[in-house]
Amino acid sequence: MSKALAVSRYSLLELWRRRILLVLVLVAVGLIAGTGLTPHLAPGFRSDDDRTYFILDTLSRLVGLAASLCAYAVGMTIINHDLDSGTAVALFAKPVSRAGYALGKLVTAGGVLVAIAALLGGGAVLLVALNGGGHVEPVFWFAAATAANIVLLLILLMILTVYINNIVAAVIVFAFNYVDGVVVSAYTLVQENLITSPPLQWIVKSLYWGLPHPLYSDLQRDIVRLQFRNAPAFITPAMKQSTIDHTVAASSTADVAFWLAYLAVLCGLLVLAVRRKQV
Amino acid sequence: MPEPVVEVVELRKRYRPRDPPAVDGVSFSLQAGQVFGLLGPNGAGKSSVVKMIAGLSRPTSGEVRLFGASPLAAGTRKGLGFAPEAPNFPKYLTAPEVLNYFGTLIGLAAEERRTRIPEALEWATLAAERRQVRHFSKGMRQRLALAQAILGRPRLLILDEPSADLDPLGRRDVRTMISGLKAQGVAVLLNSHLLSEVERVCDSVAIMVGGRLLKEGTVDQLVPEGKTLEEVFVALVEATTPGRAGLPAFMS
Repeated sequence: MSKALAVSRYSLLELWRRRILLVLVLVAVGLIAGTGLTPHLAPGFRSDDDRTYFILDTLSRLVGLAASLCAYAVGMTIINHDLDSGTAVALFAKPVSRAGYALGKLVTAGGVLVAIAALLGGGAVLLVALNGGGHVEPVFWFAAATAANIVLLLILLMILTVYINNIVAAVIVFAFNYVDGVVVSAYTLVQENLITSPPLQWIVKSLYWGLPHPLYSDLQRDIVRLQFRNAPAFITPAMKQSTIDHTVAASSTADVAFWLAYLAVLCGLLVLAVRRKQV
Repeated sequence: MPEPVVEVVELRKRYRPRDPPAVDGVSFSLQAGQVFGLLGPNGAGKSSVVKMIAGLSRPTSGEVRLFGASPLAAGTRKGLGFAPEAPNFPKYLTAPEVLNYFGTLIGLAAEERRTRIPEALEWATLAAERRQVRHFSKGMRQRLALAQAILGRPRLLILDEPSADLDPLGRRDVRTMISGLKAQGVAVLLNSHLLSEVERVCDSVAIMVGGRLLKEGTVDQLVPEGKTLEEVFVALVEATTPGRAGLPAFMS
């Protein structure tokens, strides 16, 4: 255990000294602060709803993007640098088990990303609270879901970088993430009975429950509802409801259980990949 | 006869099915206090053998016994010190941090690390170095590799091209280190192209070509009177790999 802790400790020190994460986080925190100030300083925000809509919409994009970038920055390098530089040759010849090494790396990478998500999410919650506080709960769950999603993305990246170049791995994970988003959207349509063809429903459900899909909060639906508050009269309540139904809803308990199961599977695959790696 | 420190039996390694074997039926053993030189031209399979002994890669067939057990088990490698070819370390750490990291992985207690690390750094002439490893020259990395290899007081020290990037003083230090360790009963496996170095420090040598062990014996057995190890080596390699001499046609 002390050996895994040593791997974890020195990986953390390396991440800290690489500065890229620090820069990403500082830029994100600055942008979050700017998001809070903009509706009060810039013209064109006529009501509280306008301001809240702008803040929630911008935060949901900003926190998600910044957290994902941090996950890519960590996942692409934390194991790959050791393997690519040849450091692993000296490391793996020591009496440390590969599982202990993988565990140490996982604890550092996961811990750092959860801390970053907590910082950015905390900033977002604070900002929403300071601006009236009407959507604190969905923003909190959005931050929690973001943390959960980037951890899976991170482990997926770590596994791939054991085998392939880290840039290729990042491209694959990026493409996978995109496909995953499409599957989640399609699943929402199935849930709301907007896709009615049984074979299509079966395909979408199979993909949804076969892939490690991201978790969501109700924030997206809240944003859509806010968007409709000042909507023109020709947009009927039925049209509004249809748009809301098309928007991804909060993940269910089954989704969270599925996330936990996938987390366990991916951790196992990571340990296996590192164990089998010949350097 | 005591149990060998390393025993390699009919070792074979093929990286991909379509490639020729990198190591093809190599067998040898190494006793405590013995300095064994593994020689061969580039691509002979020396580093593949060394990596299998260090538990870094798995043999396709055959067996490696390190201290009587499989080197793939982490605990077996406790008595192993390994200085790899073209060594590299976590590049944002300083030399004392690298040694502290590796010392913890070896299982050294904090007190042992506190005493050994400054001594190892002093020996490697890195005691005054405060920069991170990424700013190190090749020679400095090589010296750090040697320092981390001896940190755990190994029973077997594997040196893969240890002098390649060292200056003459560094080479002398390596020779002195090998002699000192041999006197203490440490087995040393030396993988080097510098045949004059090998001739000076090794008790026995093995010459590998094309993944096979062509000759093995003491330096006296292998090198006839009036010849050097380099001459024997060149003759043997040229006899097995024809067409090496001369310049490319465009240079003629």
